[in-house]
Amino acid sequence: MAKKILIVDDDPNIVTYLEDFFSDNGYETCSASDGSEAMIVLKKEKPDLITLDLEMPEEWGPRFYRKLMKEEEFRKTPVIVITGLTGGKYAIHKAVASITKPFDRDKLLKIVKDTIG
Amino acid sequence: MPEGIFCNKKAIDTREQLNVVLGDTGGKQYYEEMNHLDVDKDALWATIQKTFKSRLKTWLEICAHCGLCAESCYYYLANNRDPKQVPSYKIQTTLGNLIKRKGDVDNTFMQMCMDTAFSKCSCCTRCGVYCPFGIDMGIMFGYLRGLLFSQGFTPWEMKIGSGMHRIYKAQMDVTTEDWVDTCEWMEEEWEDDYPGLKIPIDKENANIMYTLNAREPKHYPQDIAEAAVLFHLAGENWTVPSEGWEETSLAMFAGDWQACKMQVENVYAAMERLKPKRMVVTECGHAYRATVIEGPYWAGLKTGKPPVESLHYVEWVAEALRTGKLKIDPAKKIKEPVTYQDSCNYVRNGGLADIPREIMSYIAEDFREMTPNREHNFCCGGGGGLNGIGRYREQRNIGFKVKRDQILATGAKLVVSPCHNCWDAIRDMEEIYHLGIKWTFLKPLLIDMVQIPEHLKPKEE
Amino acid sequence: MFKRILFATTASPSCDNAARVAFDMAKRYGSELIVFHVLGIPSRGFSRFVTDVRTGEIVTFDDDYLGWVKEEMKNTYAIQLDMHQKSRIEALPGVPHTEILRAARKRDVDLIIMGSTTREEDDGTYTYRSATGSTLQDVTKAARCPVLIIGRPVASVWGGFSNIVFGTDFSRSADSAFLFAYKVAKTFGCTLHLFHAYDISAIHSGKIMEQDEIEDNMIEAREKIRKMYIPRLKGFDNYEIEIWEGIPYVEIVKFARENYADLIVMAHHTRKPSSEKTLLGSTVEQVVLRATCPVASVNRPDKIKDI
Repeated sequence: MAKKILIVDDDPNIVTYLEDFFSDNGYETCSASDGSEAMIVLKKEKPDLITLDLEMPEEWGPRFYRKLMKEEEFRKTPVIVITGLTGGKYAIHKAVASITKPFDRDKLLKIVKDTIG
Repeated sequence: MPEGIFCNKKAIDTREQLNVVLGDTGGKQYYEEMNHLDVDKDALWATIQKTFKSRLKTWLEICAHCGLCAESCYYYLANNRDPKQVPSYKIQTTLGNLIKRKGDVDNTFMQMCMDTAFSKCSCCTRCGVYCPFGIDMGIMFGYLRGLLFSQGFTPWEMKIGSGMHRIYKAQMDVTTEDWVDTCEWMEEEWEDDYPGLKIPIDKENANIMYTLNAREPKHYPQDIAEAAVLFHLAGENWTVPSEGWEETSLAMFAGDWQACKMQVENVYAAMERLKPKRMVVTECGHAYRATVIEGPYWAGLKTGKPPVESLHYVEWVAEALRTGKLKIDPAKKIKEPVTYQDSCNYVRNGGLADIPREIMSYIAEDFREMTPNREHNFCCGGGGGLNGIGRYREQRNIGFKVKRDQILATGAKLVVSPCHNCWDAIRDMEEIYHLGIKWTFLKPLLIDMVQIPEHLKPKEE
Repeated sequence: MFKRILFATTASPSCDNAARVAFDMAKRYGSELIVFHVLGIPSRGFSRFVTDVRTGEIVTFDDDYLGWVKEEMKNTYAIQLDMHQKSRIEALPGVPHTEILRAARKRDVDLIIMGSTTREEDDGTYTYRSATGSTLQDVTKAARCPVLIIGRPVASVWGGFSNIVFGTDFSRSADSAFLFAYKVAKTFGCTLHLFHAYDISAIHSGKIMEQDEIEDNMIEAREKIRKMYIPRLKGFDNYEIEIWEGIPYVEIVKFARENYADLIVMAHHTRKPSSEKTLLGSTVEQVVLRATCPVASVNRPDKIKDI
């Protein structure tokens, strides 16, 4: 069964780009445009990995991540932070990896493959 | 063109005019207009006849051209012994010629006088000490500045400064409200560290009435707090007036005699109103000279003294340390080599040379005198308002060399400098010549060193 | 709750992170924002010269110079200023901490926001190196209202208060810090962690304590928190109490990081720091440098009215 990736980002261009890229490489995808929507989608879709933007309109990435940690079912889901903010990598220090925009998609793909196969 | 918009013969005494002149960046248009300013020769000669009296007349006439004043002048020394920097030469070619020609001079001559009076002399009066006849060229240049001011030939910043005094009775635009508010603010802020700290305003019959430099409430209010703390720790019964609190006199540097009179009268009025036993002025040299020494003459006081006995800050400090009102923690005495800047206005001109030595004996373990020192010490290089005048920065920076070499020769790492102008001069000197020294006023030094009496210590949490 | 905020900035890249927080807060909480820049240190005696805070050069202060600085500021913060209408720019000469405190007092500001720079090469650090001491130290010591400090870029990656750590040393100033932490938690519906770090740093001088003794002291601290603070949480029960042993600033930083805190509230000592004390002396200063979220330094109850 294909692995599913949840893409959380308020920039629709990034979402589309990643959706296409991951599907081309055999992954299923779902998306959310901010932290609060992400929680709903997470519970419905139960993804195997999450890519997380940090600065979003309604609820920022870090707050979503904190809520994620409180969910017994989901707290072990690997997270890759994708952000343009300086110091972003320290914001979610337990993330599997932290990538700055603009990013090298092959590098990203390798991290995903190494994490969930 | 007789009168310009920026540069003219009228003193600045309205806010509108002050803002107009302030708005002229660096005085560019001001100096441009000055090039076209006419000399009102009749008025000039009339003023001279009224004010140029026997003492100055005698001085100009009896100069023996012996040249002893030459080496007394730091400009002469700093400028490679340029003969044109000999004080006697400087005054004879300006005021001397002006008198000889009975005021019949032109714009170029007056500008030359201005350049000489402000960038070749800081009125330090050292030459007067060395001249065998006691001819004081510093005083004569002060007089010349007055003549120049009456004709509008004054450096831009000085014109502004005297305007400030006329309008705000202070050298900065600090209103009475601002001033009182600042006192209240400092009280609030420092109360935690010094419980019971108060800055009493307009208290009558206090022992001390404290007066300041307007730069302090405007930009450096912690000075006020520090003074308050020291009075508080010494148990002084003191006050500040809500009006007449500003002691300085840029008008004196500018040569605006009328404004000088107005300024000191304001302070004397406060003395009359509050009837303190004594007045103490903050760490400012020319403020002391203006208010305590020259002021009574401007205000026409027959005693030649201010209404109330007046002290420079160092006198109060010495007394407090001497009588034990303030006690120094021996462990906190200054251990590094330290020297003292004898400010012209209260040491040479005020005769207070012993006091700093006394203070240093209480607070320093390795005190190094400059050479020469006391009333023979040299001007910091920034006196007479020179620090503030943009047009003459270069000349000032050259003049610094003498003081610079004096400081370096002492090997001191710290210079104690209880005078706003000297402080700035040393700061700028450090900036330009990288001496690697620190410099300080007395107040911050003392705050760190004095013992706090038990009953004034803040309660432990 | 934050009706008027003063954001003290050097208007240079070193304050970008603090700027993000300031504008975000102003937008989020509908505050009036004063973007405040002190641009040049004046001389002691009379002159029109000031020492430019960014370059350390001596410049003439006049309307042109002021206008130019304000233009630059408008450009630097163009986008944010556009988005947030209740904000305005102010710039003036003076000694930075003096003017910041003066303005905060005069305008009755509820919160001061500042960045903290420590690297010498950073643009805009000249004033922070001035002979009169650090601006940050002086402001936090004397401010009547809380001072929110953003130490690291990551501390600006945040987005609203929801999880607060109140670090206490049981001092009187900590009382004011507690009131502030509580007020924020109650107003914005946050979780409030009451945290005390039991100091075992004497270990460096060779004094190693028995673990039982350490844990006895920790139990005592927990009791103290229960007695001093819990009764004042009238009906508010979204709180946790934690005591960890270690070097206080390390424990606070770790605790906040592990709990994904978005605000640390601490008391800064109010005593004048002696001139020998280094910039990085106290616990608060270390926390500011290391925390992954903003740190609020609160000394006085003045601006924290009863709830």
